[in-house]
Amino acid sequence: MTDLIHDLRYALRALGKAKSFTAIAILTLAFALGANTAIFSVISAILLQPLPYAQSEELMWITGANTRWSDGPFSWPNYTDMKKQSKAFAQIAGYSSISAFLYQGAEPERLRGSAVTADVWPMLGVKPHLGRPFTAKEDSPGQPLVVMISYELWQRRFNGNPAVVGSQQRFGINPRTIVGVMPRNFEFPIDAQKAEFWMPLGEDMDSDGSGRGAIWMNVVGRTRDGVSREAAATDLKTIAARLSKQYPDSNTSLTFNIEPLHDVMVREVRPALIVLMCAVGVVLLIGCANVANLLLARAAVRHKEISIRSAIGATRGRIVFQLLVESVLLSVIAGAVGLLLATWGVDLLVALAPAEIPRVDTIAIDRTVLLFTLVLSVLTGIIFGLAPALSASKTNLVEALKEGSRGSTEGRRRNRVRNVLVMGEVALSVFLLVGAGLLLRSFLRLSGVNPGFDYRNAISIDLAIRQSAFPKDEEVAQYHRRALAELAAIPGVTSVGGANHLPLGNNESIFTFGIVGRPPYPQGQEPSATHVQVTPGYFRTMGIPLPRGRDLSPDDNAKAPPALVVSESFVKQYLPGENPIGKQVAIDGGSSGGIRTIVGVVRDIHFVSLVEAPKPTFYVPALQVLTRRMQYTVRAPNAATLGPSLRAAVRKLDREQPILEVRTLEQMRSESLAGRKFMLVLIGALATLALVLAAVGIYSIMSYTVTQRTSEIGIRMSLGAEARDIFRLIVGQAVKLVGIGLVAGIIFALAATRIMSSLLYGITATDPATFASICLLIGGVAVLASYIPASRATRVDPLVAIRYD
Amino acid sequence: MADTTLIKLDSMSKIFYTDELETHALTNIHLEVRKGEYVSIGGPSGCGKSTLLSILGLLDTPTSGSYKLNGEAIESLGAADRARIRNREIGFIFQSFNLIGDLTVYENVELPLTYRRLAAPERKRRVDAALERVGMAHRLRHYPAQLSGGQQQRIAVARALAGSPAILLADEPTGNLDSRNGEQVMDLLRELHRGGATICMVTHDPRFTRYADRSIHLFDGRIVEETHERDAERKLHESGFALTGAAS
Repeated sequence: MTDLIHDLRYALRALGKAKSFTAIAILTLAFALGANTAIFSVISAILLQPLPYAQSEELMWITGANTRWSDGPFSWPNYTDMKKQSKAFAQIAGYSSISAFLYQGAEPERLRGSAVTADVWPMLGVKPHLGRPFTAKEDSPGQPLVVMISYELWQRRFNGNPAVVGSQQRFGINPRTIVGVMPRNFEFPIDAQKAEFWMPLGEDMDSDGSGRGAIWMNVVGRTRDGVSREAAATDLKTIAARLSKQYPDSNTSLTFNIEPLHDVMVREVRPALIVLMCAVGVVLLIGCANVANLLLARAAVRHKEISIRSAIGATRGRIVFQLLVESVLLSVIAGAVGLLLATWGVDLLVALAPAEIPRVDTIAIDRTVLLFTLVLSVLTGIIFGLAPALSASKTNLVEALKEGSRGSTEGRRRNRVRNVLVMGEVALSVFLLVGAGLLLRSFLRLSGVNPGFDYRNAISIDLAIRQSAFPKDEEVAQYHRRALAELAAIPGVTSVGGANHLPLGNNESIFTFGIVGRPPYPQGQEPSATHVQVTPGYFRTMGIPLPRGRDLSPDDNAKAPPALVVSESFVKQYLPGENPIGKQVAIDGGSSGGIRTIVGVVRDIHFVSLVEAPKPTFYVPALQVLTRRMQYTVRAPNAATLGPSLRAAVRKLDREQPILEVRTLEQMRSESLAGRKFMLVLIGALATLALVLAAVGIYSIMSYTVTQRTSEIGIRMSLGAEARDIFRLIVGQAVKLVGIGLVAGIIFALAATRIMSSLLYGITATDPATFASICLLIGGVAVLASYIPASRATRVDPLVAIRYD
Repeated sequence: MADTTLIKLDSMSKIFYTDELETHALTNIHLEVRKGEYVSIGGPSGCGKSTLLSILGLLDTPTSGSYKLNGEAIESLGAADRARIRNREIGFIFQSFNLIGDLTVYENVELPLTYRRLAAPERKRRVDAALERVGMAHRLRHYPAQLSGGQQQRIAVARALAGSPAILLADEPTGNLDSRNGEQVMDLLRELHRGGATICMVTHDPRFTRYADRSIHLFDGRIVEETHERDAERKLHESGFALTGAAS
């Protein structure tokens, strides 16, 4: 202990003396450790922390599968049957995300919420902060309407007034009694957008609950104590087989699958987070290599001091320990600075994080993260300090303590460790840069994808027509007509149209269908297509070409024959080689049900996202198949400035009309790319940091080499070497080092970038162009980083150099 | 009659300037070295011997005066031309051998030839011949650290010879060697001289000055004495040194 205190004191003094070394080392490590801390805080919050529910490892996500769906939601009857029959689960709860306007105060506020079954509360094991959870009785039809609200909503809209429990508030069209306030930070389901209220799912479910074939609700269950995952899965499979047999029409080949809820919540983001953690780990390794290089150079300076210590009796182990104390101290100080950088980094990450990342608000520098940083700092200190300490402690006392010149220049063998470190740095940088390059090329490809519609100069307003104000179908149709007319009258607007879902929203409605005159498909194997309800003028406004047939017109209304416009891929897949115009399609289920005649064919568009290839789509007239949800879109040269005009136009129809969103199509397109952009920015920043660190590493080793080889350079010059020969000698050495690092890095990257495959678009993980560009970039950086030392070498005075020792 | 002058220094001076001090390292040096001549430069420490050799070897430039090597004025040459002349006309032998530790014996000797951009076969021929001449042909693949001091200096001599320079400049070539190895190196130089080599050697060891045709004695940066071989022999007798077999 006394030794440790003594070593610490000495280490502090030694670091204080070597100010530039200490500053550079701390800064290098602080950036690397800070980046690791920041990313780890994300990993910890999202991947490592258990879900915020009691015994969350028992919570399972249950999905249904049949010949059409592999990972689908449940119908109400299947859910209730499964719940009744299951022996392996203590509770099984269902939920569905909803939204509703809270009419309280001057402006109605649109809230995200969730309709949940009453089993959710005992299943999650979370008690309300105030009041009580709603009961199973309240979760059934014909009961007084109740709602539970989040702590945050309670604070924001009700000023934390406890009297709100028991009060009636209007959520959507109905007044509801608030029965409970959930605790601070409670979240269910764990989703990108937090639910702020929960109402009973079963309140408007009759026994049929919209049919066994309509699958729409998510299901989560808690296994009974001592029931394994396998036993629970077997239990559900038995029930599914029974239901399949019992209801062959709607439950063809039905089976149920389970997966831990936590895994499902993080499934989408896990690959990206793992890639990020690898990336920051690589940056840290590069930082370690740089600092190890600095320490090795410093060890050369301290050679004599270490020899003296050794001569007066210090064992090698003692010297290694002392040097390690120095490196660990350095690393822990850097860790503390890194922690500070990480607090800003975390804020930045949270601010930049795209919507699809769940539990973002739980990301924080907590005790786990602090412990991680401390352990990582100590390990880092040992990793970068060990090689220099071992190397420095290996002294030849007679040689080291003897003054005087040697007969030949010192060999570069002592530089072997340093060279290996630089090669390693280059190899790791190549890996990271290749990763960033692949993401960049993917992003550029994706940005260049033609979505199939013209996203420029168009703006949309998203709303849901109020049932209370326009209860009848004909009123809704009339609303659409008037809204289109009002919007068209806005100065500058060249066309107007609307759809219940605009493209690139990352969701779609899929309906099954059959083609009239064809033999029916076997049950459960019917084809399906994306279903969109559109108003007249939609295709023109969106800039979607219509190469065959006619556009939908205002005359395609309730009185006209049911019409349908399909996409080219629909025709290609289901009516190949036929004239689709006039063909009849029978759409299953919902209000679109019945037989519709194809009147036109439009070009394909990327509907769900730019990544997903265009799919067969049918467009039904919104004046025939009425929808209250509508995203009216106008095209105008000054579209971006028309937001207020759009709001004013729809408010003319209904002064109280709540507006969900007003966005340009350009914004929608950017938001659909936000996740990839975020990843690109992060990996790009880390790769840049790695490149800078590698360049510094190359520079420092070449600088050190020039100093170390001054005598040799002098000899070479005295033998007739010209400046260009010396320049070539130094740059050549750098290029050789970097070349070996490049080859190693490419092999490493070829093997490792495969984990990025799911993050790429339009290129493979072994894209030759990316690899070639990165090789050129690294080669260029190596030449640049060695340029200054090489230039310095050419200015060596041979006379001084020959006498240099 | 052909001009046999290889080196001609006229009124050459070298002054080192520091912030506060002006040091006259060499003053008003007149020196001529003929082709095939063996000149030794002696004098006490700090008298300017090594500075003179550095200027002769184009490692340093005079402050004033003129220097002609093989009839070519040196003062006006640029760095690249000076490097070319060092490479082609001058062979250096240093007190501390100055071999490059990472290169093998062969590569060390080959080094000046690579700067001359000679083809590989020609380089090999010359390296083999030079190593043969110094009796080190059997150590091609050794590294300097694996050789004794005397062997290292012989490699340094071979390196100096490989380029067939007009003159060999030796700076205290025996300074880092024991007496036996020192004498062997001196024998080697004498042998080279007998073969026609022009040699200019700095030494402060009076035993070795008699190997030269002519000895120049420097004191405080000036040539204070110039003696020829017979005078040197007499002086050596007077100073009590016995002649070794190699020198007789």
